[in-house]
Amino acid sequence: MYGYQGKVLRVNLCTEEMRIEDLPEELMLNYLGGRGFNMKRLYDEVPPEVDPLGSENKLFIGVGPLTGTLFPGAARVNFSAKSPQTGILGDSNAGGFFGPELKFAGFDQVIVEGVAKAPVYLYIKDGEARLKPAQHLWGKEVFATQEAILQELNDARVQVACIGPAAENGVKYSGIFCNLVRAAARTGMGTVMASKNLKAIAVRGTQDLKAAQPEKFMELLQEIDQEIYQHFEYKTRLLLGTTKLVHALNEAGCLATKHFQTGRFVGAEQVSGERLAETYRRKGKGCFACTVPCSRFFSIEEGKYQGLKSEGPEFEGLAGFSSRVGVDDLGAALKGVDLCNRYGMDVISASECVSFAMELYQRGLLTKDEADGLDLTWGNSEAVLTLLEKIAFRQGFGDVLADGVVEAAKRIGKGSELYAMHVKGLEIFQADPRGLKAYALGFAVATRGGDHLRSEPSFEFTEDPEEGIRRFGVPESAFRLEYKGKGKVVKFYEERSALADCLNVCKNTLVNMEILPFHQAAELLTAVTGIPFTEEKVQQAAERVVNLERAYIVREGIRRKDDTLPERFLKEPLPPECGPSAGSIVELEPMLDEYYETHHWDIATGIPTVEKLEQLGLQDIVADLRWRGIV
Amino acid sequence: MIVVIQVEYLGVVRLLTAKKEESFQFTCSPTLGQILECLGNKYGQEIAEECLNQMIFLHIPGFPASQLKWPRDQDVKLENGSLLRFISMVTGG
Repeated sequence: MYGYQGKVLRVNLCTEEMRIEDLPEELMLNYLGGRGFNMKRLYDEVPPEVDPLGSENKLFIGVGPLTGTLFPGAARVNFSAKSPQTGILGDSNAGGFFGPELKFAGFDQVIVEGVAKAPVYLYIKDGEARLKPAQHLWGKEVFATQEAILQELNDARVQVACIGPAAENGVKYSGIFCNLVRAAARTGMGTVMASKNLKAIAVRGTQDLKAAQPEKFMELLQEIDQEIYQHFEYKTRLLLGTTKLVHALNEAGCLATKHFQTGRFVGAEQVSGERLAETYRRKGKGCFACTVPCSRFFSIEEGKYQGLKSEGPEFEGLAGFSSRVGVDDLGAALKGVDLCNRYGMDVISASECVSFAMELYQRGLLTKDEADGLDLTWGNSEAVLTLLEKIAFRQGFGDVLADGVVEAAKRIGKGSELYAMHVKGLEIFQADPRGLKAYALGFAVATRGGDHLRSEPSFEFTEDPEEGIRRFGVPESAFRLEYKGKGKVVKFYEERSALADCLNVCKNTLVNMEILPFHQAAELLTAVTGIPFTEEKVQQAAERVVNLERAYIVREGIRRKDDTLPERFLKEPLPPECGPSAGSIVELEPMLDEYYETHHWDIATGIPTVEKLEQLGLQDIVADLRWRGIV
Repeated sequence: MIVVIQVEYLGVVRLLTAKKEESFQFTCSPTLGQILECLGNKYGQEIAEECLNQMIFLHIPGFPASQLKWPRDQDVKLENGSLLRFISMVTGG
C-alpha cells in the first residue's frame, strides 16, 4: 500500500470492541482522504433521525494520502460528526502533529461509535488500540489534559487530541484541541466527543509511509517548495500569519467591529498583528513538515497580563476578542483566546455570543441584572473575560450563551434574533460580508453553516479585471464589492478547499497561495499512491465531496431558503467611516442564482440535480434521496 | 514648491523597515512609481520587492474616502499632502 496505510480503526465505546477494517478502495479513488472519507461515512452511517448528542452519532477522524509525508503543511486531521451546534453537517480540522502521528500509528481513519460507561481516553500505538480510564482527567483544562496523558504514557512523542471542560459542560461550540492550541473548533466536534465520555485520543506511531514513485514524489516536492518560497505572500505569512488581516481588513473597511455595526475599528493598531509581532512575539512556530511556519509563541512580560504565554493567536481569535467586542487592549484579546484554548471553545462562536450580548446591552434588550451584573459596554475587557468563564462552566448568564447564538436569541427573546450573526446555526467570522461579496455567498451556502473555510475565495481582492475575465468570465469577479461572477468564484474555491481538506494539507498554501493546481495534484497523488490520478479525476473528487455534503444537508432539510445571511448584511449599508466599503450591502439572490446554476443544482430549491449527482458517480445518493422523496 | 508625501507602513514592510511612517519631499508632484523607486533606493531590493507585493491605500487631501491602488498603478500622480499606506494583501485566514 502506497500513500495510504489502508486501515481503518472502528471503536465501539459501549462494547469496548476494537475492529480494524481495510480502507475501501472506493474511498481512496473517489474521496481521496480526510474530509472526503469522513463525509462519505457520515452520509452512509448517520441518518437524519440521529440525535447529535445521542449514542447513534459517530465521530469520524480522517487523514489523507499526503499526511505524514514531506509535502509542506500536510499535517491536518479532520474530525466529523453530526453537529450538535447546527443539527446538520459537523466537520472541523486542525493542524499540528496529531494527523501525521495517527498515520504513523497505522490508520487513515478512526470511527468512534457509542458512549462509554465512564470517561475514557483512546490510546492508539502502532496498529493497536485500547481504552484507558479518564475519570482523573475529566474536568481538566486542555493543556493540563495533554500534559497529564504524556506523563501517564511516559512518552513525550505521543500526540494528543482532547476536549476541555467546556465540552464536558455541554457547551455546543466546543472543539477538539491538538498540540495544546491547534483546534478543530467549529461545529461542536468536542461536544460530540464529550457526549461519548471520550476525553482524549492519544496516538504514537513509528510505522513507515511509502511513496509509489519516491524519486518523482521528491522532485515534485522540491518544485512545490520553490513555488512557496518564491510566492509573493511568503514573507507576510512567515512573519505575520493570518494576524496581518486586522489592519488589512480594517483599512478596507470590513473588519468585524462592535458586532458588525461597522467595519472600521479605531483601536485596530493597538491589537494588530504588527503590534503583536513588535511586542509579545518570541519566535515562529509551524506544523509538521511546514515550509511557511505562520504561527508564533508569545509571552507577556509585564502589565496586567504578565505571565501569559502561549502559541498563536490566529486572526479569528485576535479580532474576535478585540474589534468584535470593541476591546483595544492586546493583552486582553490574547487572554480571551487563551481562555477559549484552555477551556476548549471555538473562538469564532464564543466571540459572536459575547458580542451579541454586548449589542443587546447597547440596545437595551439585555439588562445588567439579566447579565449577572456585568457591564457589557463595548470595550469592557473584564466583562468579556468573565463572560467567557461563565460560558465554559454554564454559570448564570453564561448558560444562556453556551448553546450558541441561535438558542441564546430564543431564550432572550425581545426580537434579539435579528442580531444573531450566524448562518444555519454556525456563527460567522471576523470580516464583514458586505465588504467581501464572494465570502458573503460562501457563508450563505457553506455546507457546515456560516463558514469561510469551505471556500476562502480571496481571489476577489485581486482587483485585476483581466484575471477576472480569464478565470471566471467577467471582470467583476476580481472585485470584492461586485457580485457578478461570484457564483463561479465560490464554486471553484469550494473545490480547492475540499481538495485541501481531503489531502489534509494547509489551506494557507493550497487555497490562499494557490499552490498545487489540480493537474499538479494529480501528478503528486499518482507519485505517492501509485493510483493513476488525472486532473479531471482529482477535480471531480473535490466536486463529489461538495455535492455529497450538499446532499447530506438537503437530506437534513436544508433548501435555498436556508442559504441566507443575517438581515443586517442584506439591508443595512456599511456606514460612511468604512471608507472604500461604505454603502455596501450583499446582493445575495443573484449570486445564489449563479451559484446553483454553476453547480448544476436546482435554482428554485438548491437541491443537486439527479444528472449532476449521477455524473459524479453518486447513484447511491440519488437512490437514497429518491427513497426519501427529495428528488 | 515642496510636495510632501506621507508614507505609512503596515504589514511585513513595517516589520522589515522597523518604521511605521515617514515622509518624502519632492519638488514636483511625484507618481506612485517614483515613490516605489525612492523606497528601493533607501531600503534595498528585498524591501522594494516586498512593497510590490502590497496593497496601497491612497488618501488624497479633500477626498473623504481612501482609494485602493496597486504597485502596478505606477503612473498615478500624487498631490501634496497625500498619504500612502502600504498594507498586506487580503487573502484567506
